Amino acid sequence: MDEMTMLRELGERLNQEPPSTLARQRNRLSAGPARARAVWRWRAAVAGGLAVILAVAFALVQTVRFGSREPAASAQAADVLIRAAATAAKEPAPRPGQFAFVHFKEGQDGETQEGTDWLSVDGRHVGLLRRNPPLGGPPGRTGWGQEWACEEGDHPATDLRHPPSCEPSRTYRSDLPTDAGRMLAYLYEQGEDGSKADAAWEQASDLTAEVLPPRSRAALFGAMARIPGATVVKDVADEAGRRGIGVAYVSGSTEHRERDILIFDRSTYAFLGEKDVLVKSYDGRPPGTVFAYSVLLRTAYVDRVGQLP
Amino acid sequence: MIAEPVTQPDSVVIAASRDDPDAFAAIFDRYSAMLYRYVVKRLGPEVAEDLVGETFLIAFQKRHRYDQDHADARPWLFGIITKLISRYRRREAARYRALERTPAEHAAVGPDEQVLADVTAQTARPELARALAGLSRGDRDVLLLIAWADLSYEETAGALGIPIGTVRSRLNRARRKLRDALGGTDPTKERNDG
Repeated sequence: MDEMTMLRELGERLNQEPPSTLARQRNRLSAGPARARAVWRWRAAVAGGLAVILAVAFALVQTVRFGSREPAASAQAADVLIRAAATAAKEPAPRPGQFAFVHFKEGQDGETQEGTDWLSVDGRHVGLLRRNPPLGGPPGRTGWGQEWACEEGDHPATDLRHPPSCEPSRTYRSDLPTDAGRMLAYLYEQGEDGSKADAAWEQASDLTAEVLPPRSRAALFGAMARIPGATVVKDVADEAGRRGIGVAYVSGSTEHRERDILIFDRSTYAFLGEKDVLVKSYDGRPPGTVFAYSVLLRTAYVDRVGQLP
Repeated sequence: MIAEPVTQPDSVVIAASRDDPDAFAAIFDRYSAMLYRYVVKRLGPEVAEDLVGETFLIAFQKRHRYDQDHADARPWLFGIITKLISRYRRREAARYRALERTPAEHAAVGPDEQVLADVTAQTARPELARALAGLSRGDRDVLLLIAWADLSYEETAGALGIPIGTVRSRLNRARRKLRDALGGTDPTKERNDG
């Protein structure tokens, strides 16, 4: 018996017939939220690449403010985003060899995951992912678990002094554009579904939950200021209960039923988190339900995995 | 069984759904079970249903840009679901590792374990599961689209957006790794070099 035959047999054994409830998924075709984001998503992993983050260019803020054409979001929303870009640009940049520490919480449709991750800034070290519920566990399991961030295989982290030798995964996002104009082009290029602006916003919104170099995060908010359609929400709380000022975007196409809100600190314009709120009822959930969210609770740079800032 | 007296090509149905969104439901009816069976093998039933729904939601939103030259929508749909599966790589690896760990004589403690124990006992050697978990994502996608989704080389190339030569080389590499794993760990077992 050759390996393909064995593999097909394994497939037969693993197979299960679809349950009758599968038909419910059909209803999503006309009514569902556009952003069916996976809650246990493996946050985008970027392989390698030297992330030598140079000093933050002050010019960036000027590029955002003056270098663009007329801001395309509502003037107020663009103002919030440009202030957020300026704040992001002033964040300290890491040194190669350091780890970006991020404490986050995200969820979708009732399921949540909290994590503290340590991501290699230069992509050459193995990061650490501490998650609750743990990664790769059976459904329903709770409690914290930690794993090394390797591209392949399963590497439970028992001794933080001895990372495995493996290709690091989920490294710092050093691959993104660092000015608003190129970031905008990148977002439009990456977006695939629905209207162009909708797709670009969705790409941008997903990136807000990532750990980005200061210049890229500034470029991201600067680019979002140029996507048409955003409006200001004067008072809104993130899913960690922190109140702030929001920038909301409702996708224009008829299939979309969610309002995406970015939340910023009202005085510093630091980014707090993001949430998708149902605009219309969906699958028994009333309008106003928070369907998906992410919050950034703390980001910092540290020298070792496991080290708290 | 599809009970349509005259089956229109997928491309025609998808074209019609541009103006008549409800028509797209026919694509769901044709392929949702097929996609479910594929994803359930790779990720298990906990997420399979939702991923199938998400696949069709994405397909629905992209229907305006469907390439009308392709009468058969399967490569397109499998391409979409492959991208979604990639977000669950941890779950997938854990699933194969569970197969690897479950010894044949292991007493089952739940329905899932029972299935896995049966698998290990009756056909799959743990080596196969381990090798599957150890493949790179690109190689595994090609291998499983061919072995578990019954796509041809050409359809696999279409699904993944890669040249057919790349499909061949990835498949060859994946098969070689499986063979090595099957033949290399237990010399008493028959070798399967064919």
